[in-house]
Amino acid sequence: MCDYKISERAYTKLIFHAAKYPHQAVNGLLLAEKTSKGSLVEIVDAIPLFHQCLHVTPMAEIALMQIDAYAEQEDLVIAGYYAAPENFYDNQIDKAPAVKIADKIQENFKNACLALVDNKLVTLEHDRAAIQVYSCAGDSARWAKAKFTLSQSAQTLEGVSLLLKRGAMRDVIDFDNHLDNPENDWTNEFLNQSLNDLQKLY
Amino acid sequence: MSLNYEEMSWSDVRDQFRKWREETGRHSEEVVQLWVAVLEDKVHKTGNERHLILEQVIIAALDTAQFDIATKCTKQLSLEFPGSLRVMKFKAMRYEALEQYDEADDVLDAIIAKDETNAAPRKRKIAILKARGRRVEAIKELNDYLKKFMSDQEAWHELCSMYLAEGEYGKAAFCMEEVLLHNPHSHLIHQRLAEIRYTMGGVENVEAARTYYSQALKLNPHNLRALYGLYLSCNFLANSKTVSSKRKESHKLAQWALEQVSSHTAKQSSIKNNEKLILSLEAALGNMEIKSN
Amino acid sequence: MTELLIDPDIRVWVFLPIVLITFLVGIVRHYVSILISTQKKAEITQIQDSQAMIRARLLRENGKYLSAQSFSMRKNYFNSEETGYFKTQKRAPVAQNSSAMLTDMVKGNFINVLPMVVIGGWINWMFSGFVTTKVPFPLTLRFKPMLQRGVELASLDAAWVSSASWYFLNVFGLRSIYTLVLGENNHADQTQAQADAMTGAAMTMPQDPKAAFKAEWEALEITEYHNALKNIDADMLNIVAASDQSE
Repeated sequence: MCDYKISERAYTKLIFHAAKYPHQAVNGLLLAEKTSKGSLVEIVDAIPLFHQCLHVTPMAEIALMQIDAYAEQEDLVIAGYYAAPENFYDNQIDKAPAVKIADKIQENFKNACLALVDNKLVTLEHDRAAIQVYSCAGDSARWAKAKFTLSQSAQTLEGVSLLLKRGAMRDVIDFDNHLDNPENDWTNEFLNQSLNDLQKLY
Repeated sequence: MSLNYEEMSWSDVRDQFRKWREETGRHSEEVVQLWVAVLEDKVHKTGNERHLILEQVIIAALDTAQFDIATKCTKQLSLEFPGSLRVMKFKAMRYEALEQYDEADDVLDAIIAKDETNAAPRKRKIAILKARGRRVEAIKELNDYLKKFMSDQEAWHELCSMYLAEGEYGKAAFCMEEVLLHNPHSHLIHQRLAEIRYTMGGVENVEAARTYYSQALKLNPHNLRALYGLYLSCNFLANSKTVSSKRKESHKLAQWALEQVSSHTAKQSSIKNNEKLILSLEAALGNMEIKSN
Repeated sequence: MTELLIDPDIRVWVFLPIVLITFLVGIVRHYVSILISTQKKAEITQIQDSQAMIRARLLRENGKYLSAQSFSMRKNYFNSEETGYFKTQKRAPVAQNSSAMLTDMVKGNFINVLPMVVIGGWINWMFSGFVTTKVPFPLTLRFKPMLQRGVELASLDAAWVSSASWYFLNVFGLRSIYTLVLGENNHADQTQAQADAMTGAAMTMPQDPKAAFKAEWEALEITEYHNALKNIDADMLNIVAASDQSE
């Protein structure tokens, strides 16, 4: 059993991704530092994957291969999976799309986590983290709720609400966008930069 | 896309709305904003197109939960067409948006009772089931619907996505084939069918996937998903237990697909991580070579 | 040959009235047909049948993109002896002399044939024998019966148009004007109505579903599966070879 700490950047991106496609299910990957500090896994970044069709594997395979290489390069590791169900009220893990990807990640990274976006909590005024985090405890192949903290949670939540009001979620780019047009950058270099700038203001 | 609301005249907005309607894009937020900012007072100038615009605004308003606007527009339409089934459908949709599903169902049942050949309310009923999270029931209803309206490709498409969500890939492939019969020249349909086949796995299915990916590429050589997909399926076949000549062919095709991918991305992407991308592709290729040994 | 000079009164009292009359008759026809036509209500089984026919036709045309198994599965759905759709669906033939159909036919005749006969006859009687206008280019003698109906003068140049022919030119030529004035899908143009009658109203279900089923069944039965994607692998390899050479 280990704890998770989710960075501002990762949280913002995954919420943005869900908010950019409010009518569809979305998913993505979570990246963590390679050197884990004891039982704490620090999720530092999120890579939005798909919004069109989550249930077919070919593009997911391609994305995982590329992101794995990218993570290697950045000295990170794929440490989790996030998903936002299509139906507003679905917040159960068995309703989450393509959980198999999470199982696969868990095979490669023991402390992998699964973050599920709770659609009801994604609001313009959101005062608590709109995700639930699950982990695979021990050897049992079941996902169970895990503890997590959001770094600088009050500020992050406030910042995300503010950006959502401005429509900033449209700037997030997922792997589907990249496949539609290779000009789109799924690493979201641009968004990362502006988030960093924003953070400095606080 | 950013639109400058102040500088748009009502005719610009009308043209923009028309364009969205033709593309069947919802653009709900923009529609509502433009409606309030520009078109609401001038809508009488648009003549007979007014009714279509009102319908568009109703749906957009329901999408964005602005029920007052939706109600107002529905009233305008029902004043003009009292008792129209088409307007009744919007009333049902309003209930739907308010999550009063039973009321919505009643209204829709009334429409179907009046005109049993009307496809729209039947589809809405299925949408309600889906919204209530009863996907299995929705699938059953949609199957019944398709027995009657069997050349409704939109419905086949929806059934395909529901089957995919349920993990019934074989049935999903059947539905996609039905859509393919309607548009045999759409590379996207070929690509999606290939994706489903690939997901099903097994040499036979992956071979089918390769065929459909190839056809998608023939129809549109710039389809990045099809290029990647061709790479993956050829990669799979190159490692499968088939005749060695076939394995060689697959290997060659896979390499070609990957070259195409990297040349496409290198040419078009102006982004900073361009080299990284290609690097990761090479890494993936390396992955393949390990497997083929 | 000396140039003919036409009395300006012919322009005012023959040429323009014919245009005006044909145009107004078209407008009146449009509104009358809207008034008396009833929305045809289709039965659910009719819709189901026509959709099945469309699906079977698409299968025949585009089935080559499916795999052999998928194709025969669908063919079986329609044509199988015991369970096939076209074999098991029994539809009572639509009664030919049902009253609704009869009134429809009467209405159709009323707004299409009647005005054609009456107005045409009246124009012929009223304005017969005038030379109304001239087309601005020379024509061969073969055009004389077309353009000079009602004026049988052997010596008249073929470019001149008689009043009766002018009327017919108007009848057939005003379609775009109607579209402009009344919008698309208007009922003013009788050539349109005739064309519809000729093609047997393609959109609606044919009268006898049984015969239509049999025809579609036969067409599907003789459709051999042929894989359009059979050569795609070779094609791809050719493309690869071509791109290799160009490098």
